[in-house]
Amino acid sequence: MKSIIQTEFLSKNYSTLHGLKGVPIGLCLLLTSYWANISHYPVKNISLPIVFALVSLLLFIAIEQYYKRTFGEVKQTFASRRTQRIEQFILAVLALVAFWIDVTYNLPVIFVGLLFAAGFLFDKPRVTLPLNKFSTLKLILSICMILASISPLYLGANWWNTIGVRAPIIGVTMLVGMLGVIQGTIWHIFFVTSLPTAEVKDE
Amino acid sequence: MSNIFEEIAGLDKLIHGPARLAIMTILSTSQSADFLALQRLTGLTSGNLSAHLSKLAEGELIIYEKQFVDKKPKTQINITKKGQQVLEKHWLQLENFRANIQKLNPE
Repeated sequence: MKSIIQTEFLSKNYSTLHGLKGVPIGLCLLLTSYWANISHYPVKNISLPIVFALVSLLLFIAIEQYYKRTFGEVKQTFASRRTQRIEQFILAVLALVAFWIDVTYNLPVIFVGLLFAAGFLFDKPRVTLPLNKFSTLKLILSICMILASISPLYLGANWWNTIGVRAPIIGVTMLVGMLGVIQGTIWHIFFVTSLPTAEVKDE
Repeated sequence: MSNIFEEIAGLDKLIHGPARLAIMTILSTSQSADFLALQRLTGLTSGNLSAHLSKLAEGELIIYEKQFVDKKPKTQINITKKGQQVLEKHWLQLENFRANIQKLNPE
């Protein structure tokens, strides 16, 4: 039996802590940006990214079913679901704006990366605000994203080319995808090991 | 001192045990939870969890609903308004109890 505080934290964030759900999204980002990096421009066939998106969606549904069947379901309160949807909507709008800035202006900072870092850190405030192993990992990965997003400032404008990446935005998106997969996998391990293994005794 | 003992005696025994307190805490922080999630979060065996849920339902602190999803039984559990009030009162009593103990032992 875990402490009441830990039980409360786990139940409040039950579905958010299902880390493997982030893996298909991360894989989709990683593969699509890799495809963008090796494609010959102008691109005539975009069937491969569509396949990546569909496979990721199917994988996501399968993982969701796995969590429901293995760990059950805790439905969040209406208020917290509404807050989460508003946050996701705002992040989606900001992501579009950031993407537009990145492809329109040749700036030494990748705004999509900074936004992912901010989203990574703040999209689930209840998970990120108390300092625990979940939030510490988020913090470390967000710092990695910020450093990669501003890397042209301290490594030079063309450093991504030296490692075979066509454009900074592609490199940052690949990194975001990779970190998403890493975080998802580690969070799953944290989640499973945070659940009690011994039965509670009342006496 | 007798006040403290009275406070201990006044605690609601229906939810004071760690297992039931954990169940009530989980349900108070969510809209509902299913049987499997409660089992995972508390570490209780299904038999013990069923027994605790029955007691809490008898006290009208929770309600549960059995449904069949994909031909498999699924029990959805919700906390009642009375359950929410009892839990809040319980935490308040524990806080007061702690404060009174600290008054007796200021160090």
